[in-house]
Amino acid sequence: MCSNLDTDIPVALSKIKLDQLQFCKRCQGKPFVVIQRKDVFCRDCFYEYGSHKFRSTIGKTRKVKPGDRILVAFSGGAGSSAMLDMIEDGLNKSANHKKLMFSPTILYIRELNYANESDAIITQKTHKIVERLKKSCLSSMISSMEMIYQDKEKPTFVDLGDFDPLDKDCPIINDKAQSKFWSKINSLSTDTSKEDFLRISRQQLIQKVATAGNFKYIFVGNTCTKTAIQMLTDLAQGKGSQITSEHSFTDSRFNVEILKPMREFIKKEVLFWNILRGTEPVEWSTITTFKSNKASLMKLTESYINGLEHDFPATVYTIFKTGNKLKFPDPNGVICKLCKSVIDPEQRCSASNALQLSHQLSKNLDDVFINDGSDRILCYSCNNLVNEIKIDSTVSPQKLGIADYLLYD
Amino acid sequence: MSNHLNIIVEFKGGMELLFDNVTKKELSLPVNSGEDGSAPVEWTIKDLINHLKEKHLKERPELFVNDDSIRPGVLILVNDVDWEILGENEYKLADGDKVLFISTLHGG
Repeated sequence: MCSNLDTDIPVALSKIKLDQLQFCKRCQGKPFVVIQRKDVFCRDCFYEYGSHKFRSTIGKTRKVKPGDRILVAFSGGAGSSAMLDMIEDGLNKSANHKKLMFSPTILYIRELNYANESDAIITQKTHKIVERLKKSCLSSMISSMEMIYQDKEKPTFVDLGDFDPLDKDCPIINDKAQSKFWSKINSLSTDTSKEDFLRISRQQLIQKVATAGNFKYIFVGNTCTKTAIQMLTDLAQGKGSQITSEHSFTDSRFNVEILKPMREFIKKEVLFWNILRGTEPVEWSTITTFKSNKASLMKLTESYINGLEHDFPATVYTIFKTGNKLKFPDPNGVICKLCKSVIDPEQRCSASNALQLSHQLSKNLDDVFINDGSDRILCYSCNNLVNEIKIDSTVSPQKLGIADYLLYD
Repeated sequence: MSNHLNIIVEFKGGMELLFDNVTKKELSLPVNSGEDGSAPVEWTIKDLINHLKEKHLKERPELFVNDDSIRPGVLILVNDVDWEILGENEYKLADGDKVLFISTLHGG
């Protein structure tokens, strides 16, 4: 069966392709991009398609009201660059019914040099991002990853105008906090945990800024492709019960709700939007950028999905839509202190109970898991992460780990 | 009689990291009349990918190609048009073409 698929389907696709892909499917104009190997758009129709999709993703949930203050999390990457451009474009529309009415502020979080790139490259990338923010009609704030360990009395973000990457007195450049952050990252043994740690830290930092600035919602630029990859990665890490809260349009686990207006765009659409509009994203290298496909679970899942997508162009949509059909967990359940997701309700036969039992039996231990009985405060996956952080202390590791993670309560 | 095909190649979305952080290259590719076979008669995208891999790639080739074709997750545009419209690997390059390689991968 597999050999049939390998030979027949791609040939069939390529035969349809060239004949039928020569005209825009809406206006018969000159083709610009093909989505899912069948939908051809010219530049004008792709622009209409993209900006309509963005407006409708926000509009159909009826969450955002005119005048709402929104913190737009901008990383400089493809997804958030396209999001920022769509917001700016939407605010400037002349037709009233197409105009976006909320009031956005940009937040850029300066990342650390994870991939050990040269100072010249880092400076160049930072410069490009700062220039992009200066060009924007919106006001911008800048923070940096180490700010999750910022001293309590100091600010965690500054206005764009007050930011100078070379100024050591700039409040968001804190060497002490940065080395603490590095020591945490370096204490994790796998790249999967490091990526997870960065994701959670970033999420908490954005929350911290949004709470301090009294914002109503946070916009993040997660695409459909990223969501599909992250969903499968989360499943593999034992976060199955949290998929709905983390990956739906509204994520209300935290103080300030996170909305994902780009979640119906696949990465290809986002890249072509950027090309169409001339936005120049800056891709910040991650821990696994120069590593093999097997460096982390996320990287592996990404290459797996991309490989499948090559022959079966509906892969991402299928995963994404299946994820959308999952049931929300019971909101009255116990909340994980770290990721704020609802932990599996007490069930006699949950997967984590089975794991716990097997762990106890195989090591002949009485009780090692902190995910146990009434003290369940971390979900299975966060528990693994916290346990991985090496701590040189006699205090019980889980307590110290959690205290170190918690940024505000 | 030998001739040259002049094209511009660009790298974005993290692809430039594999090419010494160069985002734009102007290439002059040798074109052969076909008699001695030392250079292709016509250059396809597939030939260009191979040429880039052999002659210009600075970092790990597995992050650029997969077997003989481009790594899944990397998009190609010729003169700002999706290469899927143009026949992907089989598209025959013309003088003055601008070929853009752009990575969809997280972190480039």
